[in-house]
Amino acid sequence: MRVLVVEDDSIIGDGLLTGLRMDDYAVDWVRNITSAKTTLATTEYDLMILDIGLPDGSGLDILRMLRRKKNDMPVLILTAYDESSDKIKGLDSGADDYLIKPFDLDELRARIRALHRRAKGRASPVIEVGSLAMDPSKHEVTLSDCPIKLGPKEFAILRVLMESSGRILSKSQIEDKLYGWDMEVESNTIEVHIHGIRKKLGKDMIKTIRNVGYRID
Amino acid sequence: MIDIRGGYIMSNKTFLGSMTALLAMLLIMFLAALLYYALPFIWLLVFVIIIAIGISMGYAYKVETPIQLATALNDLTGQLHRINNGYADTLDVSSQSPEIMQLATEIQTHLSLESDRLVKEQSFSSDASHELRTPLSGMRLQAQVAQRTKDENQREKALEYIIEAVDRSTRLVQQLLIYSRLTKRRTQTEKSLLDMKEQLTQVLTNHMQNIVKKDLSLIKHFSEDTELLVDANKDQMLALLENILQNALEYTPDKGELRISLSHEQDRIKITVEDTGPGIVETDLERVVIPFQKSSDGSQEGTGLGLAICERVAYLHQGTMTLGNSALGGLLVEVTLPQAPMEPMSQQAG
Repeated sequence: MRVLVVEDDSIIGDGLLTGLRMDDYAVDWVRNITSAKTTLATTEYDLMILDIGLPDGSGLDILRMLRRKKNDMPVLILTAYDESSDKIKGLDSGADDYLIKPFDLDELRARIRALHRRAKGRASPVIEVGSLAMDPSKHEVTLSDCPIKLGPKEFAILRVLMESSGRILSKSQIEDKLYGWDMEVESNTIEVHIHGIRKKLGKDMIKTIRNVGYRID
Repeated sequence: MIDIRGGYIMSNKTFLGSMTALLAMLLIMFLAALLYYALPFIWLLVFVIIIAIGISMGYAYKVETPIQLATALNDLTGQLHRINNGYADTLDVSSQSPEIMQLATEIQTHLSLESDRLVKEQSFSSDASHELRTPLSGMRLQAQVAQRTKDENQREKALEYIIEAVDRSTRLVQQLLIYSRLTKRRTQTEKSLLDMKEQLTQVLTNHMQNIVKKDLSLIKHFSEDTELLVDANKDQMLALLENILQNALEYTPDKGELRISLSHEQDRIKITVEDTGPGIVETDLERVVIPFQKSSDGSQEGTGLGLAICERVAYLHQGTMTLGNSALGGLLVEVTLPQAPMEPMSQQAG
């Protein structure tokens, strides 16, 4: 999952970047409206965490612009303003959720998971594909009810594939969901991890479509 | 000439004279009687005339009767009582007396100044609490990162951020205290004669370590005049110099330049500080002296109160502070203060 963080404070911004990368999300961080607009125009995100009080205006402007362009990406607002009217204004401008600073990192992570699964059309926290089941909050994978131990990156790649089950994902599409701009990705990393997953789940779970990508179904 | 009607023979002249005397006597008797009997009526008439003049004058000069005055004052008191208890917030007085109307206007002016101050104070505290939430959020977030990470370097970095956030909140709290003390009064009380050259040198010495660390070239232009005195509150003046310098130091990149000058023009002392930092966009120059207003490019990392403090101190000392863009490329801050007349002996004694 690729997340955009729009936050002007350097300490909070860094905390979000580091904290969310622990969940193996690809996280990008911009500090103002102008950069956010540029980034949104060029990159596809699964979720946005948006601060309201930005130096060059209100974060709500980005939100309204996004919704006008029919972009349905889940947006979670982070703000220091705790008046009820502010919350209403945020939600009515198109936000999906709301957290007030200071907030709990674990609560933010849970809300991100909830927003993401709703956006994918699921209500259950467990993703199921055939006999394979994954619970992202607990970091658990079971195959026919047998727990499987996966490394963090393997888990993240499997999550990306399972969330788009039935669809072919190219190597670069998978990379986009896993690595932010500033992260180095070696050219064969995805192959290495897919190889690792196959060893644990069996060869037929993930199919390779030659010269196109991977698919799980 | 002989009168045949009686035995009296009179000359025409004598007759006329006696008639006049008789008439005069009668008139005097009549007037005496009139005065005797009509005096009360005359007094009454005079009284009525005086009252009539009084009333007409009263209308002309809007003088009210004591009863009317008492009623107007009562009304005013009643309205003030309602305002004090929060049932109303404006006065509505109509009186013929200009004195009462003046009193009401003054009270109304005071009330609206007071309510303006209250609104400003409320929005200030609300802004201040939002401003404090930011470093607090940073602290909490980085503390959780430090708890959860398995990477030693990451933990170290998170802890450093926590310390930075604590320092930032501490500075914000200090600045809040200084600013709120400055807004309590409209004039300055505890003043003493300060030699600005001495004060500026003192503040510069405090920051020398920072200047050396950033490898800045410092150019000082201090007027040769022996004494550049201002009659000022020492703590506030130090806060002003401290904040201007702090601001310049914060934004000037390493190996940059800092130009400080102190001079006097006629009866005003002028302090200018220029730097080679990024400066402030023309359109933001007026905005950044308002508490917590950030410049729109998002470069601000300070408390958002520094320049507001400087402006307030200058104002309290009948001085001015103007911001502009320096020829050096960065910000230009110019402060002028009224120069104090040179009587150091008497002041030192007190």
